[in-house]
Amino acid sequence: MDGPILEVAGLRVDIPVDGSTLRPVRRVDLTVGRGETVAIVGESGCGKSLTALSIMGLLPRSARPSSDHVRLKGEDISKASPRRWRKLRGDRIAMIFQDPMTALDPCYRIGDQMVEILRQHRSISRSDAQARAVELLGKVGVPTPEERLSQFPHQLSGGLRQRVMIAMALLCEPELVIADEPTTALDVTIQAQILRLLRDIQRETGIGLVLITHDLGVVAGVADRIVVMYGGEVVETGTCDEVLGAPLHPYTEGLLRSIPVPGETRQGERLGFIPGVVPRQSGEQTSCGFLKRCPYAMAECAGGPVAIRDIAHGRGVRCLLPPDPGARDPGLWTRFETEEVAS
Amino acid sequence: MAAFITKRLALTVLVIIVTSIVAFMLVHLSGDPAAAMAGEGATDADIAAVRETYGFNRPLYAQYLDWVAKLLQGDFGRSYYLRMDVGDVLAEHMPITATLGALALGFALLLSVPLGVFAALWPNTMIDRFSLWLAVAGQALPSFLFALGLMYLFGVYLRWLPISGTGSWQNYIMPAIALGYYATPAIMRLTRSGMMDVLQSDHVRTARAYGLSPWRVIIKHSLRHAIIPVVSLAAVQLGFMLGGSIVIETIFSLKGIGYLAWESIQRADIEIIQAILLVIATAYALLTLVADLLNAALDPRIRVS
Repeated sequence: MDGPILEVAGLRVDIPVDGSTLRPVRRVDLTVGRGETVAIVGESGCGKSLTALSIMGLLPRSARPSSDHVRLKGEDISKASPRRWRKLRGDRIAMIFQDPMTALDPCYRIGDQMVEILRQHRSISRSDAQARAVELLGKVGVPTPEERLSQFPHQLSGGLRQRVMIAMALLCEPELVIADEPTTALDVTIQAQILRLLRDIQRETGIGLVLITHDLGVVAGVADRIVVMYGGEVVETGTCDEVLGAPLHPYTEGLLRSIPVPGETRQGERLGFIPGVVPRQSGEQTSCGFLKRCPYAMAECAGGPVAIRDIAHGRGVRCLLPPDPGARDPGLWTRFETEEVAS
Repeated sequence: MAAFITKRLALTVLVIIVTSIVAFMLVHLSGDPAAAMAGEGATDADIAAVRETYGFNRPLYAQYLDWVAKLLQGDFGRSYYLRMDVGDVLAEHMPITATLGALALGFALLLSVPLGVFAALWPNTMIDRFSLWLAVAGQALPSFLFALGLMYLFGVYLRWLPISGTGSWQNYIMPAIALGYYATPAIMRLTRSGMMDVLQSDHVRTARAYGLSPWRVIIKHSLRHAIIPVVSLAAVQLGFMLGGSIVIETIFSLKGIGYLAWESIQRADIEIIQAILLVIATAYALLTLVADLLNAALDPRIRVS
């Protein structure tokens, strides 16, 4: 198989605000192979959405992105012209957004919006474009797709609209689809349907899928690999089993400890939480980014920014602790007192 | 859509009926029409005679119903001062005001909508500042002063355009600019703020994320949303121009409705005054209806449930 579809190296995003500089994304490396689903996981404010938007070239005007490279099938797109960007977006890379209620234009029929995208990128007749739209709507499980073409977004339920968004993303057979919290705005029962649909589509078409989420539960059945982000940095990478089964970074460990497990977590048992709040990311780093919230913090952690360590192929962690979760105390996260939240 | 139109239409008719009552009452309660008609120095007997002749001694509702019954047959009554049918007087003045209003609104829209769009696309740049300056100037400058300035520059100094009269299409250029300029600031600022909001919205981000060309994103997916409140505002502005362009019509000696209203009020020519009130109110109601229908055409959420 040829090389990876997406290679991001050293991505950072600076946003100048009133004299100081916010650094919501500090250094992100990301590789997505053909037919692979990579989940980017992290709390809100960790920089995951901005990472996605900078891959799409859709950052807000005030943001200043920089990177070693962002390669799409070998082509460095980080310095692409606006014209080249427009050719890539919707055609080679497509994006599915969080809120299907607002992501579609309420003024146009579903069919017209799909045809417009297709005809922007392909010289194809209107009726052929419509046929293709019907085909894809059927594929993503929209009932009576022909009738949907003439409906407006507000006439569809949230789940259906997200299916329409997925169909839109697939119109031009892109190599890469970025789904930014695709299920967050949906009911839990619909979430599972949409996730299964994304996984099935991904398997069938062999696209690269980047799934951005704050919900580790979403990740488990869908992702091949997980990239955990914290404070604008990648703190841990690995396969789904590795990261969820044996987390190495204290932050990942804390995240997992804070999820109740059906059948295991008993009534009245304390759930874990990570003390403190996500710090505002500005200025240069002088220590490990997780230092202030880390229960395992050591003197060395304050010494300077921590580099990512490769434990094995595709397995990395940004932490100075020995990569042996068995040596740690798993009950630690549940013993924090709530006062520590304030610290 | 049919249900929507029917509902709006019924509402419009209701508004027109109510305003016809108000117009009638205002004119008949603001003074004794018979005394005004009889003129100064008329004896009580003269006034009583006038009252008898014109039926002012009947109950108000009877006079109103009589007026409405005639209106429905297309009879607006007769001006006692001009000794002409009010319908003919209106037919003579109405086209002038309508032309002026349409041209003025056209000018205002052509100037302010593109400026508003550009200002929203490039906020805090030269073009944004220029349009803000234009808006402030338009808001602050009295329209008669602006009109006089135009007259001096293009009429007296450059001698490009006629200063007064209604002889040719050139007569309408300066009045339309002077009248339209007054409506420009509000439309421009509304377009700008609407565009700023829409450009931030999710569906515009989607349009960009799918590689649509910039002008498609701006016109099709942004301006269409931002223009909806502008349509409503423009309808009100046009209604205002149809009824309230007295100053501009007077300055440029355009014998339109505003001019006629002003003259008729001085003469207490109540048949004409109440007809003008009714015509302007009807125009307002119809313009609002048109604006609602346009908005429904622009935004399916208004028309499709």
